[in-house]
Amino acid sequence: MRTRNLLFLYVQRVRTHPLQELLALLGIAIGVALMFAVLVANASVTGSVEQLMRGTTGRAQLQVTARDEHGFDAAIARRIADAPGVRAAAPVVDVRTTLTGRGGSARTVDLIGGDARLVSLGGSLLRELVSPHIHLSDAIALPSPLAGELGVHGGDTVRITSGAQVRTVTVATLLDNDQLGALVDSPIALAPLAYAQVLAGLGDRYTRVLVEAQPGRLAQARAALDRIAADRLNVARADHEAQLLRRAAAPNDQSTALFAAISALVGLLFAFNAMLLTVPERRRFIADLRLEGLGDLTVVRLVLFDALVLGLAASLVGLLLGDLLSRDAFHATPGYLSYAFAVGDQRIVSPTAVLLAAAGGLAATFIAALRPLSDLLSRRPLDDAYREEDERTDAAVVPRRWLPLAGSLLVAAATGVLLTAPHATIVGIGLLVGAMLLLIPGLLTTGLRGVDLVSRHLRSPLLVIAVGELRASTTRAIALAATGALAVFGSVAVEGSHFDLQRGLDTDAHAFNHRADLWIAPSGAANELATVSFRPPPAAARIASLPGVRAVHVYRGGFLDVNDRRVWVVAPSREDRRPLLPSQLLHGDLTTANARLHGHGWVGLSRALAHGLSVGDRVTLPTPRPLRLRLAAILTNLGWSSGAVLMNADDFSRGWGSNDAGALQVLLDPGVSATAAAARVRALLGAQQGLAVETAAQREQRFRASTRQGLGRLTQIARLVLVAAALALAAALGGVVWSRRPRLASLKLSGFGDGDVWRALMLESAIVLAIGCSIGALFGLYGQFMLTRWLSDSTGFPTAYAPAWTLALSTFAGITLVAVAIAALPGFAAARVSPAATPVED
Amino acid sequence: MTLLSLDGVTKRYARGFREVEALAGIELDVEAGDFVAIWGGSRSGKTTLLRIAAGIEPPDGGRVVFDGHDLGTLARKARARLLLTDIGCVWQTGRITRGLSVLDHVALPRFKERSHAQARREAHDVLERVGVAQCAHARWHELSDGERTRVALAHALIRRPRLLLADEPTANLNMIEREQVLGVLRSVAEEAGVAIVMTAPDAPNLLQSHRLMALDAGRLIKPRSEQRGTLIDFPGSRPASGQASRGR
Amino acid sequence: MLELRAVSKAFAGPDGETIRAVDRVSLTVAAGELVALYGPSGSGKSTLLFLAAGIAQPDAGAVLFDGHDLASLSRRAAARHRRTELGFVFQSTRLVPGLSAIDNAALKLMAEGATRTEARRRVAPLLERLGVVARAEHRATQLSRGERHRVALARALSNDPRLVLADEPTGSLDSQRSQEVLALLAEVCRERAIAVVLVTHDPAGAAVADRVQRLRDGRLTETTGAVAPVAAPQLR
Repeated sequence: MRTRNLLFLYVQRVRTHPLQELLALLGIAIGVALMFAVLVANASVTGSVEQLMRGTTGRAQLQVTARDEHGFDAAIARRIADAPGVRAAAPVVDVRTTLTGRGGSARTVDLIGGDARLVSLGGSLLRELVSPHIHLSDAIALPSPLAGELGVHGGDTVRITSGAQVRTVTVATLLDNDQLGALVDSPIALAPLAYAQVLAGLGDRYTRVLVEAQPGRLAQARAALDRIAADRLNVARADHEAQLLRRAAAPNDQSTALFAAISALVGLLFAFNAMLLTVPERRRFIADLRLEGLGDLTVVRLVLFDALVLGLAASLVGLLLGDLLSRDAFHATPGYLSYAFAVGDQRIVSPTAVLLAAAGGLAATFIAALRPLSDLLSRRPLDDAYREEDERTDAAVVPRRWLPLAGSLLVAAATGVLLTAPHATIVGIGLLVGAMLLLIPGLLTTGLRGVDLVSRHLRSPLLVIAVGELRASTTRAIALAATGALAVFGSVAVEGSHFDLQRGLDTDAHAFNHRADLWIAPSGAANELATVSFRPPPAAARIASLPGVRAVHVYRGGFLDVNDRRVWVVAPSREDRRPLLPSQLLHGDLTTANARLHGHGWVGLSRALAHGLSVGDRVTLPTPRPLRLRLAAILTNLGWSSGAVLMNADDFSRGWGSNDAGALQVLLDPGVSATAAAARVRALLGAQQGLAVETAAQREQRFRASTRQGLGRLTQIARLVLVAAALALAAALGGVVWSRRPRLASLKLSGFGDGDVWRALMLESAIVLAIGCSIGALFGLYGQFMLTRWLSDSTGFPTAYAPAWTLALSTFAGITLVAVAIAALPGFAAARVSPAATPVED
Repeated sequence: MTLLSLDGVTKRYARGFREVEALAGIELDVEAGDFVAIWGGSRSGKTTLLRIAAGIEPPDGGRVVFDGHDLGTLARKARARLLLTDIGCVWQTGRITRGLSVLDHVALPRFKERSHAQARREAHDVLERVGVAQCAHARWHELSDGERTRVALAHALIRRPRLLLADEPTANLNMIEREQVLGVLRSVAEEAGVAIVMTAPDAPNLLQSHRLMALDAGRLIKPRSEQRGTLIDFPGSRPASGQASRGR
Repeated sequence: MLELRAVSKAFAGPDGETIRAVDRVSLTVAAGELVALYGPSGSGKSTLLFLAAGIAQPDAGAVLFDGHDLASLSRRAAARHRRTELGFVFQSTRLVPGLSAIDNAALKLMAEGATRTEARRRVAPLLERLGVVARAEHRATQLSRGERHRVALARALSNDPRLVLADEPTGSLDSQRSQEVLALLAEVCRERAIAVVLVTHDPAGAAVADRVQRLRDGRLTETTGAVAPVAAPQLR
């Protein structure tokens, strides 16, 4: 058959059943949209940092970085430039600062300073700095969106806080898309090299040197750099920052990948549900054509053509929807990752995301369209298709007996993975989903049998009709149940585990922040973890003599790059006798560990850092002044995905070679109001805008808010999947009910009224969804257990596991009720069909 | 007592671009225990007549009175109730309720009033009455046309209707099956006092009925002398015997 | 042209017993001949038709078309055989509801690879011959039952088959329309020397046949002459 004729027939079919085709299209489109939006949201986090990097590093392959904010000597930079194998070297100042605009709005940005040497390396970002058009000797340049957020225009001033120093600087220019390209959404401020050094308080020091090696002499250059760094500086690849971020974002990545997979499956099921409406008619049509002598190949072409047209259209719609979704719904800053990385607001749409999502949509359509093709394989092909629709036993092509067996095996396999290979738990979850889907047909049959038994004791013909209808259309019932199950599963497993994580983080946040009643630390949203050091002002010495103040401790902390991780270093004052909390301990004895940490030369490492080590082993940390320590205990990662290090403040001092503080911890006498005390401290310190004085409760509140924000994307995705599931279920139910009107007319002929028929339809929907969603809830609870185990054991997060019964129950009830409620409307209209509307013969 | 009365019933249809009068002033009175047979060609409006009599379709003119109630004035719900309790129908395009066995399908109208087990027992009895007890657990597509018609009959009879409307119940049946169905109808009319109105495409189907009339061009044509138990003025009819023969 | 040699076909019944749908049937049909297989429902008539078409394979015996055993054909060859030599008419007309009458009739030709325009051109005369050309552009759902059957007939004849297999082609029509359609079938097929195997339980179908064979429990009984139709009662 010619392709034009195939198209003609397709168009005719769509004209005849436009609603069904539209539902099929919508179903697939929703799945594609979800998948796409999730993938884009995921890529944007890491992608923005990568973009920034490429903008700065240009052709450089290596970099030498300081291990703290104090940078290193200009002399070292000269030595690097002269090293053998080095073709070009450019010094960079790269520090995290906070900008405060008029009205008090603040953003944490990366202040980047460079000169002509950097530009000649090819980094597009700083081209503007040496452009003849812009004079920037003592001013900074900002991207327009950032300036807008701060409420500043070209020529205005902003306050820049670096460490605890506050300065006022002029914003000379605003840079747009034309000048910055995609980097216009990055949180950066540009300044000439010399000025940046001033702003950062570095004198004539730099924080980073980018190095381009001579062709073929990369190894030699690296070796030379290692010698120069002499274990005081870090030598790494130029794209190291992105690697660190990828490591930090890994858990986030994996859960988003999980969601993307679930969305894809959900989309597939939506499509399948919708396609089911059109399948009987399609099979008859094909059977007729085959009878007339249509070859097998042409049948395949026909089916695939249909699938292709629908799939392409649906994927396109889905991508558009997904684009909207990722713009509006997922536009949330990634929260906690921005403490350590300059994560921007860019929405990065990678070709991979587009291809994956579109491929998913096409795959869904093709799989759903396969049913008519299965007729080609059956043994009695042609006369089979001539049975009436109801007469044909709706038996699947594949025998059903082995499904429960296979499902149980998969559950066992998933459990096996959980027990023996916990780092591959995501795979285990995939196995669990597979098991759930395989077990649904069997569980559905059992469930229906149960309802049937119940119906025998009730005087309800409606229940009998509902069960009969479900039994007669098993494929559709399974598809509906599976959709509900999948949506509930995804929600319960991921959200439940998310809550466990949140509880663990909250507990830690509480413990961490309540080490003291008041915290004095550099202000700025990025300093949640008190990682920015500062020299306490002279006035601080008088805090201890304020009324109500019992003691003032010096707390230290920061970030440290260890291999491919940017770890969080926590160094409480030695006067804190219990630096390690019970909830943080994984291996070792608490009392001994605390005693050791109180002394000198001991450290606690999180599980990922302590890989292969046992308590008592020696470790060397790549601090600015390398520290040789012994392992006191193995901890959770304290909520920081890359890992954590715990030591006392004195050891920190030694390692970083400075007496700067991370924060001043103020302990009050019992009964003293923290708020009042804070006010007194603020008054004492005067107009030190660089420092913030907060009560423990305020800090904890901020902490909780930002972790929630960071993890909030998971909740957003979970809710979207649920909403989409409920809507698509309702659409599927509605479509089925509407196409069933001739059969409903027959029921009317038997004497059932409008209300009876409507109630029977609602019963049917409710039964199948209730069974499906409850299966999803049960499996979801197991999934939650697996995910939380993975979070705590594999990645070392602090978690507090509690089976999410309430969540399971509410999700189960929510989806079922909402879908049935929405489907009640078309159901009501369909139930009013006149008994005279009997099916047309032929 | 007149159970069903069609009084000047008319019905018009749009067919293509024309408007056709399917029924033009039908007058019909049916009493309890009557077995009325109406024959007519296709498009003669037979099915429409039955649907109007059942209250499923409203007539364009005239009225339908069942058991003293004007169907036109009854509410939707009340009309539906009639189909459940008083009027049994056997249609041409009848199918089984999806997913149910034959037995449950027949028992369905009784599930509200009776317990499950009781309803099924009643269904079994009715199936036996119409001679298809062996079909109780068969699948619909395994049944022959004659068996299907009789199952539909059982589905109608289980509700102990006072009026039974059957649309071409003998279509697609061979001679033996035809006789069986007609016999059942006849015995139901005579023993249970059910009023029966059935339609058929041609005359040989109708020899067991009491009253025979034709539907032609929308009008009911009754034989000149309409005497119970005899058929006169029709070629090929049996000689007047005055005896009603027992069915089955 | 068509020869069935002692073909038998049995199925497994719902309770596991063997149902002999066709039991050692022998039948020959010559070109242009109209053979009616007359018997009650369930006597294996449809199975016999499927065997004659080569769609189902017999358990025993052979089906020969022009001397070639249909069982020896590959799937592709069998499909081609159906495409070029056979035409089917069924009780339910199987028209595509969304297509017009002429598009429905042209469907078979389109399936073979003709363009839509050409296919429509080729079936237009057929529709005229069958008296439904005035309704050619109406959608199948708007046609009366009789008209639908004629369109189905046009479709069956559209590829100039040599053999038409008709399974209860008028089952749902009343006797008058039935007779009309069957008469038309017989007429047109005689004009074009198309052989017809007609399966029916309607005496009108037997009336138009050259030869009537009774089928009962899967077996052919002896040939009878044409069966006289029952005259419709006269109205005064």
